[in-house]
Amino acid sequence: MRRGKALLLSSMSVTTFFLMVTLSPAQVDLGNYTVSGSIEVGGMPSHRSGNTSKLEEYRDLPETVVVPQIELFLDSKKKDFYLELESLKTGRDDQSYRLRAGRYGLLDLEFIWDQIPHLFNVDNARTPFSMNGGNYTLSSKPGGTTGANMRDWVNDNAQPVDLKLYNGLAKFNLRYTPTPGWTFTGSYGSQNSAGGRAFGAYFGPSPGSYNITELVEPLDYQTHNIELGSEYAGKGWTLGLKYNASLFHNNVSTLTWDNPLNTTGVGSGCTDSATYAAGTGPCRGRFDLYPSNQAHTLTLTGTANLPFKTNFMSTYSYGWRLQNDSFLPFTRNTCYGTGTVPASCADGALTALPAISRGSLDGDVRPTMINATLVNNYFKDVGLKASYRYYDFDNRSKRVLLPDGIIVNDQGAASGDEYYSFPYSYAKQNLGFDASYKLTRWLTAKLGYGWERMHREYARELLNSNEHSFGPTFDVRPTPWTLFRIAYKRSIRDAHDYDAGRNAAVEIGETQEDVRLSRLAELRKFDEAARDRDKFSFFTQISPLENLTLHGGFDFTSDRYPRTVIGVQKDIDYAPSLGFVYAPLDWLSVFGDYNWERFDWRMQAIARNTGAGGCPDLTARTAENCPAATWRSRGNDEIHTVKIGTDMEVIKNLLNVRFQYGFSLGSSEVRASGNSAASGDSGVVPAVDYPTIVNRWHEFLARAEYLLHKNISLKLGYYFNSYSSKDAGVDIMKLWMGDVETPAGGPNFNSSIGRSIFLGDQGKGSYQAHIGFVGLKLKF
Amino acid sequence: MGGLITFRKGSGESAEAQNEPCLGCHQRGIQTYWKASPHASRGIACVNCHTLMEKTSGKQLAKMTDVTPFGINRAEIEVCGQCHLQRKAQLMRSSHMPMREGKIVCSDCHNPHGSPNPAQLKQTSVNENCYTCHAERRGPFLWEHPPVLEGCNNCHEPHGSVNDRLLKVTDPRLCTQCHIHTRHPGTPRPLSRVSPTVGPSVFAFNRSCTNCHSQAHGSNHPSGKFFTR
Repeated sequence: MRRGKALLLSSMSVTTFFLMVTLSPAQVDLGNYTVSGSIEVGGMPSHRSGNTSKLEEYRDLPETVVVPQIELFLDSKKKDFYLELESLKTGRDDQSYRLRAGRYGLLDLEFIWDQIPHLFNVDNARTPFSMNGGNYTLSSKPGGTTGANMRDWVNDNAQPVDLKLYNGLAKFNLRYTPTPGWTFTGSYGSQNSAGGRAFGAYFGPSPGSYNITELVEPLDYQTHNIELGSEYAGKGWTLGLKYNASLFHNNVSTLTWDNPLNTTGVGSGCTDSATYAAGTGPCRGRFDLYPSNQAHTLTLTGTANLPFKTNFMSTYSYGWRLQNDSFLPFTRNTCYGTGTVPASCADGALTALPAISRGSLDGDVRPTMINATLVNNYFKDVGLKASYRYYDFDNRSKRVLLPDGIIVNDQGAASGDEYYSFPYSYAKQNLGFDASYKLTRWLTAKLGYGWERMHREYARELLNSNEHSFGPTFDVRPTPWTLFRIAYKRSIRDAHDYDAGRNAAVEIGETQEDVRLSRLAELRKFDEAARDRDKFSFFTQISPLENLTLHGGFDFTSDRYPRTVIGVQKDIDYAPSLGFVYAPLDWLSVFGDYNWERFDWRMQAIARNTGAGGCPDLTARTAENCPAATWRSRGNDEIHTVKIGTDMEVIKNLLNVRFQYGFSLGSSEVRASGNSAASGDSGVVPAVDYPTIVNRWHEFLARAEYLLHKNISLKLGYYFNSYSSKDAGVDIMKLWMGDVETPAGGPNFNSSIGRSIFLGDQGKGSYQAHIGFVGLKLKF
Repeated sequence: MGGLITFRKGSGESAEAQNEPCLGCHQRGIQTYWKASPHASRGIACVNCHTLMEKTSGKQLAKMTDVTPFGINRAEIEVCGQCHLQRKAQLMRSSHMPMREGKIVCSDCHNPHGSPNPAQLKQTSVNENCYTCHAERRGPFLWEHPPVLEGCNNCHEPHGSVNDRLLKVTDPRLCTQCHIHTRHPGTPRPLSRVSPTVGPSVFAFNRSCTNCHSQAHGSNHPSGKFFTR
């Protein structure tokens, strides 16, 4: 019925539009100006099945009349003034508009409005919470604290909820060139993101008894971006200065939610306690969502043409990243503090709140970037380049001392550790040299060397690392229509002062040795570890005929971590591609691309439980002295991507047709083995494979444009899109997970999961859609 | 300039010669770093990407933007995809930015004419690039997660991934590549029933680690040291 109405409406609209436009002239003259453009209107009947969130993940495909495109061009007959207007998907959730006007060589003004929907799940997520801004409340609680009580309550009370975002972006750009030397630019942009997405929250201690409450994270972000710049170009030199400001404001800065497992009462009838257990504990918890912040950046760029065909380019930028939102209290649990116990607290006495040295962070990061580049082409057929770059992420945020520790998840006494927040900083220096030489008319060789030094402040395991990269590149052009590009780069990164105990500075109650042992001395984090990288790329483009182009490529990256016992040991990426574009006839062209990519990784880990024999316990345990608890995992992602199509001018200047097909088949495998009972640990769970994730995506598009009249075209389209996904980690999700978690009696039985609730959304649900389009396009 | 220059495909004219007339005017603003750019050093000519005499798209690109009611295939992605074959294919992954829907293009993050930044990024770091849309993650926060600060691309593949949320490696392995030193991350967790008594674990299903540690990008809550508040 819905489709029938949509079709009727579409037909009537199209007919009206057609009758109206047939009387229109092909071009409009307005005195000194001419107006031209086009407008397209049509209807989109469709048939779809399955979970369509993914179909409309970033687009709006309505079953109604749509205006896919409007274009309007206004030109002065003297060719000194222009105005362009373009609108896509007018009135839809993914609509966009662009208005540009100006005077050639003097002024350019542009206004952009763009909407981007982002649908996570609008089909099957549910929640028992009433959501009002950042305040989530429950109107009832479970009748008891067992998993069965939770199941019955959540199934009776959960209501459908949409998980989606809308991003709206408005931007105004200006460019003014009063003289050939001067250019002034300015822009203002406003971006709003509003909606909700899934978000994990939990009460209680871990390890121990806890309950997870998956929520809808409320989002209402507003960002203002301002840019002002000017540039002067003299004879052989330029100098430019630019200022950027980005002001981010979070309109929902906190999220408070009721604890469904405190069954003492609902709303104000609920009583807190500082000790968490099923049925008691905090009545509600509170998140501090992303704080509002600002960024300001000044950038100075200069270039100069120097003697001996040398070009110098340099940029200096300095910024401020500021954030000073007031800290929330450690907890909203009313059983914390000093003095008289309030009626809302069931405890006999209040639990002390820990101290904190500041009320806000006074967050202040000063990123600096300096770059200087020299390019020389003095010698015939020789190209030289030298560059230096310094990037400093200088975090001057205040350090915050928490001498009594923190309250973890709104329950329990303050943790015994003393904490010092650490404003983490790093700096990176890069030096590079490239030399290229045109050895023959058809062969250019280049040799490059790069050095990168990374310095981190002592909150991380590695203070300093050096990475040296070097390798050749060859561009081979044996004929004007043949190109081969081959490049290889070898990079070696050291990590001599890696120390797993470096984080001693964060938790001031511990010694460096304590941290080293608790963090596992053998662990090497992949982003800091010593690494050998081999990178190879090949690209070819061959056009043996004027109407035929063949292309192909192979990208290969291998990262190996030679000194890593625990952690990532290697990852390798291969990606060969092939494609062609062929136009055998004036009216026919065909194109195709195929890509296969495989990403392999391997890691080693160790279970660190308390053993009853066999292996040493916990911190004394290593991969060598406890191979039984050591486990290995390897994985691979493999994706096939195909795109083929054809463009045909079936009847010259009258009928154009395109057929296009795209296909993507992706899989992600995780294999694991090791961790056996021989370690002597209790409740050993051996490492096992994960079910393979598989997703398939097909897209077929057929469209035709038939010229009915000199300025009117009939447009027909058919679009098929299907997606199927298999992902055990998501497919099993529902509101209550108690019956899929480790069964009672198992080694890791966890009754907490039986008391947890989720949104039950399957973010990657399968679907199939057939969508048609019948419309008219008027050109004027 | 000395004589006529032809821009026809396969003319044998060098890229330097073909570019010279363009650079007479277009060598500032976004083209400031052209001569130092990888594209210039690889002999790419302006006409490999742009047309001169024919209006095609907003940036005079050598391909047409294809607008249909079903989606928008941006000219820019086709132009860059002529050589960057792997990247073009990655846009068709199940987890992707809205590029194949025509809402984002390559030059939103990269400056193909050269920049003083790695990978020809427009901003001074990977993170600064991401913050242009995701300003909420900029912080600074009371509790920082250092690998996040150093590079969003430590965990995410922005061009497209077969894993949810553009993750480079599927959860929870992404986290356990570093967090295997204490308590629950070191214990291997199953994702399906492997015996009558061992079934899927909350540490592995759904959002796995972020089922609880949802503030992994940083927290400003005094109790957020473990990214759970």
